Amino acid sequence: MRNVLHRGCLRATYFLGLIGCASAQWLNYPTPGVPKTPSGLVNLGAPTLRTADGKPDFSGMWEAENINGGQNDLPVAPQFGNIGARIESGVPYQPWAAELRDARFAEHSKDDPSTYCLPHGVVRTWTYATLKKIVQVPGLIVLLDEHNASYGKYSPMTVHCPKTRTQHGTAIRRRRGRATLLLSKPLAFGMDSGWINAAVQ
Amino acid sequence: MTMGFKRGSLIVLCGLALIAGCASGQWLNYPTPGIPRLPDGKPNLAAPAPKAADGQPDLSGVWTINTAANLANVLKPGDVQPWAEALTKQRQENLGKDNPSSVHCLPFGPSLASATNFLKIVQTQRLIVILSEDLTYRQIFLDGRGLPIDPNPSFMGYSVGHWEEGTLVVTTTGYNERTWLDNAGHPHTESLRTIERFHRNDFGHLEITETFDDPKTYTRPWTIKATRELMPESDLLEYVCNENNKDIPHLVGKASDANGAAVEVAPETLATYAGVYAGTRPGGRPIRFEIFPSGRELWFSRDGAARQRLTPIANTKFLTPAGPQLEFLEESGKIAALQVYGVGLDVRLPRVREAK
Repeated sequence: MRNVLHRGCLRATYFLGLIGCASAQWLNYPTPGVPKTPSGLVNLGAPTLRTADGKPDFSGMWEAENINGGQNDLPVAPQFGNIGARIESGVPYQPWAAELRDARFAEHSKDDPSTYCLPHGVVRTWTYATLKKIVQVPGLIVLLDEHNASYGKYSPMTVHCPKTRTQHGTAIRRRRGRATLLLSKPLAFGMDSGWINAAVQ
Repeated sequence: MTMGFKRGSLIVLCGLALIAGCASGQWLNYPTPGIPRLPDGKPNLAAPAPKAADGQPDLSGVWTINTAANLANVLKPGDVQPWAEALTKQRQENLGKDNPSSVHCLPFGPSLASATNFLKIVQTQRLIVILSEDLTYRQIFLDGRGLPIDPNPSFMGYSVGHWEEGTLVVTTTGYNERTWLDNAGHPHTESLRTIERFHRNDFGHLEITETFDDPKTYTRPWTIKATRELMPESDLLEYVCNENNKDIPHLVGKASDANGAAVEVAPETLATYAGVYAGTRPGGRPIRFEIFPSGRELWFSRDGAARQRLTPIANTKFLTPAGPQLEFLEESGKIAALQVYGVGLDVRLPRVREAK
């Protein structure tokens, strides 16, 4: 029953779009301390905020860039349907992986782990349409995801990756200049359970 | 910049996710920097509670349950509205097969803070996030906002908090009514309003009281208490309930089915079982059963919870209402231990005290 419901939800997500939420939440609560333009709007072009230790502050609500018009009210990254959408020559699949991808297309993604209410893993977290919230404290970044009300954790580079395989992986971050690299390992990738895109075109 | 970060991260994730270079097991023994330690190097859980940059207590950390809250100890006859009492009994008769969280993998809901799961608290000045091992989270806003007026009902509700003399006071409304308040099946409605008070007594101990106010279900507000202990140098493990969840087809039968298997045990035999049986479960957490004979019946209390009646199925074997079986073990002509059999639980508890 649950799976039937969630397949229904998944199809609704793909083909009908996400239904907007009621407006009585905290959806329009003013965020204090954000830079504003003269018109009073939030200035997204202002310099990056810094934490107390001088590092870039990623805290806040984030949505995907709106390339394809999104799915009704939510922008969707092109990598949602195809993780290689911005790789010129496509994803360099091994033959077995390309075959598996084709098989998943042919089956209309019916075995997508999300269909079975499993976490969609850290890679798809970034391309999924649901909104993300980053909470950043010294030594830890938490990524909250509307999908299943789930989260992922990122720890500083001073620790080593563990060996255990998990749905969301265990992520560490390393700063190189102004950029942050996220190293996630081990993930339950590929044929085991995780998908890296929705396998829909 | 935003998209640059995302694109960069994504590419790096894809490209580097499989690189080598990782070592050690999980992060369960990773040393937590800056924590107070004893002379032998172990974390000093009795040290003073740490403070956040704003001077308030810092509740951050991974917390295990120490003393679980027990609704049955708090609720008295007449406290539960008749419809809710009937629904609770129906859920117990069905052996909890409709339990939203443990069976159907839905979030804990309003009992998250007092349930027997591991939690990680991440604290900022304006927001506290509580992470659970089932990969769900909860947000508590400390930025002065008020509760939403007519919120879309949700599993975790909408929480705002403030500090009162070193205690975090959290008010939550906007719950949906799909969750149970405990494994006994106590229900609630969307009218539920909870007030939680989090107090970090010292470095290693967190006291939580939670008041439930739901006049549609209960005739008065009532409060439970739970304590949690810090797990320094550890972390949450993923618990994905829906992964390989094959329980549901096997959850058959009724609690009353056990009555058909019941046998009569002589009161003098029951009297020999009285006392306390205690030990530790796999993983090291303590477990304690106290046994109370009462005429032709035998009752038990687990971990200080309310007494429940046992159903005898043999002279030495008994069924608990929640499912685990108890067997009294004899050595040298005396009852020496209690064997507990259940899902994920198979432990021998020595008798530590006979009846007073």
